[in-house]
Amino acid sequence: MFILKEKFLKYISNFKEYLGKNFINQLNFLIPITFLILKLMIINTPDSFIFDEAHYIPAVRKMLSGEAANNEHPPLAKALMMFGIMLFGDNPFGWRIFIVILSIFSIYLIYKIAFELTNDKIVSISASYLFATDIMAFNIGSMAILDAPTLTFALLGFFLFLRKRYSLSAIAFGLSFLCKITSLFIIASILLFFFLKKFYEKRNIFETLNEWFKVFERIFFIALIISIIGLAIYDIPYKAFTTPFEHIDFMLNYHSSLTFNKTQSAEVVFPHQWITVFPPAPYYVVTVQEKVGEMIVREYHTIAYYGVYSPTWWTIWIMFPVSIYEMLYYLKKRYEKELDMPLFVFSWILLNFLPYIPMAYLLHRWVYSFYFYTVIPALCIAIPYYLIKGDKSKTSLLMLITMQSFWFFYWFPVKSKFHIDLLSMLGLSA
Amino acid sequence: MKKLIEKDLLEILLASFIIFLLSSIIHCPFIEPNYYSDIVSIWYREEIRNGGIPYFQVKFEYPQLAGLITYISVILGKDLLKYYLLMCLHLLIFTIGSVVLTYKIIKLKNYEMNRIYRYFLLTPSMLIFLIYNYDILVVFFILLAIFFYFKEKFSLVGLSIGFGIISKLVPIFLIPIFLLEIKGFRKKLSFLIPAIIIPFIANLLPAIYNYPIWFETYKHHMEWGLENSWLVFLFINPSSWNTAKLLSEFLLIYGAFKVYIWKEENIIEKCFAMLSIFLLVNYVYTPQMNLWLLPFFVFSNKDFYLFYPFELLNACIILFWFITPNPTQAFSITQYFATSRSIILFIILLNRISLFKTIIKRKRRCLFLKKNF
Repeated sequence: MFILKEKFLKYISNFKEYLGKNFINQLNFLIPITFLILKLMIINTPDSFIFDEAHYIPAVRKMLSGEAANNEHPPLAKALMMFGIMLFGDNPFGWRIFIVILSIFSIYLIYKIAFELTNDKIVSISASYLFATDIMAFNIGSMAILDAPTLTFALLGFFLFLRKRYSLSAIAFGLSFLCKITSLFIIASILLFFFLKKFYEKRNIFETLNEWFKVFERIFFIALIISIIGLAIYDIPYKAFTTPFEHIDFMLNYHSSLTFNKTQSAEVVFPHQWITVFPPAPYYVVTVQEKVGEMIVREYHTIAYYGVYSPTWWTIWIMFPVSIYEMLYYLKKRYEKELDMPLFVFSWILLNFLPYIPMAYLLHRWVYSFYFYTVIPALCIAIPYYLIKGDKSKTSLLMLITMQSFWFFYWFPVKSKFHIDLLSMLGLSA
Repeated sequence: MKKLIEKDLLEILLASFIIFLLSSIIHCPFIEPNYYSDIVSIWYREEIRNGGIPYFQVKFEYPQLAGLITYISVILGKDLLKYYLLMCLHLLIFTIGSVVLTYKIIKLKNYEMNRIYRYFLLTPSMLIFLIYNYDILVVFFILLAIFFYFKEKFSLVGLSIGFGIISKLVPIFLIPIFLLEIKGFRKKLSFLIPAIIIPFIANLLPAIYNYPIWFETYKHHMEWGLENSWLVFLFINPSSWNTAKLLSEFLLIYGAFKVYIWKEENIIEKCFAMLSIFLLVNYVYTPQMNLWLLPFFVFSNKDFYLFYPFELLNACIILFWFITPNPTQAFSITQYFATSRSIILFIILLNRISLFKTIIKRKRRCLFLKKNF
């Protein structure tokens, strides 16, 4: 009995030691798994369409019956929904399962990308957690729309790119384009990142361009071939377009025609509002009223999918100027050791956020707050990096993570009775 | 005593004059049958025939020097025959100039003299497209720029490129090539200033005088559809041609940058590559544009067997153009000719680039051997 107890205690202490040594490694998997479980718990709620599912699911149903639909977007994300329906039936689980899985994969990829960029496990884990708990990212990745798979494939492409697996990276970029054409902004930002990185290495524009073109050609032509094949697979059997190029033309024309007029401009949430404050966009909200007689004593939302910002979004005001400052500083000092992060933050924000400013203000193109979804990974990676750099004690990072967790808890889209009561106890509306 | 004119040059000039004469005969509006020519069709535009000044009073889709020649021919000619003869005379000057410059560059760089017949003078493009459009003007100015470059007269290179731009816009793409090849800031500047100032002034005056009419020149090209470009097989429906043009512009920028950063120091090869890329990716590749490339086939020591089908297909485009119901549409015979021509040009370009890589490698090896042994 004594031996058994001793063995058990030894086993426990070994396990503790293992966890102590490898805790971060476990978190790397634990965070995505936890959020997968969380998403699977609510995947069937609501059992009707959330937000743009109202466009995509009817389109997928048409596609299943052999009819071309929703040609303004490429077909891959819808094909994933279609497979979900074919495997699990025409129900919320079938619609959303592949999107959920891919959005979870994004959380894991953010860890991998952050690690490639910083070689720091704390930063990487924090980045992964911040992305997982970003309420917009969570909601977008829980519904059957195109944005989550677009970002996943783009992040996969970026990770492979950082590993110098350019051909595989190009395939991933091609798949990302086949989900949504806004992936072009992400791909362009990655190419800009590479260009700047090479420029800092070579300090010569011709040598930089020579190196850059070699990679650009591989990325561009392979991604183009994948995109064209993908579009042809849809266009030919569905008889949607004569050639995939005409499909691309249709998509570009369609999206450039989505403009608002003066009277509609009041409805637009402009890009400057995304990074300040904007009213949460109700994607799907169920309001419950508790009445005593005719009097409403309590009102709460059991389901509340909102398009809402996280406080981390505001850090863009610091991260972007800091990245520019660091780039200029290193340009002068010829210090290349910690250059990846400012170059990444600068390129990513420049081409994933700033293009929406002229699009909205000059071209009057409709823009939506959830377009910020693609910018979030850059902020999630940059925040812990800069916070740890400036504060080795990690207190500020812990504070931010706590705040983000609380924000996530508050805006979590499907609330149990306990959840609602807890919020009410804290004096918050649920 | 040195001969006034060398015998081989005299023979070349005679051959070019005969070709020119034949070209002017086949396009002459007074001889039946005759082949279509843009130059003749311009006469039938009432506003031009009545002496309207291009860019100032009437729309004219070709750049300013082309407009000036046309205007002078109209004003002095007054009727079709004299107009046609005057236009021929103008074009003859540029043809002879181009031939002489080709001859001089051959001598300067020790190329084989016979090539001028095979790859320049006795080609279908020369016969069909000399009296057709203003392309021989741009050929002349590009050759002049290259000639002055070899003579290291860089302000004259700039002047030639400047005038080239106001004949056809394409030499704009050659500016960075010369700029990168010319060493020294002052020399670069002496090239750049005339290359920019000439087209600037030529555009500024009509733009100030009558902006909408001046802008029509460029608007015309922006609004023009796909013509003899392989892109027509990817963008079959004309309603999708705006995206085709976007792709064309993207490929042009990509191709231009590839040439600019090419570690090849031979200006002839770089100019050939740039012009070929322009023709390959541009949404308009009219058959007369082949004239631009002909002297560059002369400036090489390699035989290009694909040159003959390339030229033949180019000639076929215009020969079949007027008997094809919709010649600009995909799957028409003319577009098959045009796309085959582009494929051949692409092969020639790749072949020539790799050929130069081999020559450079060989040179480096020789240098290495000389240094070490």
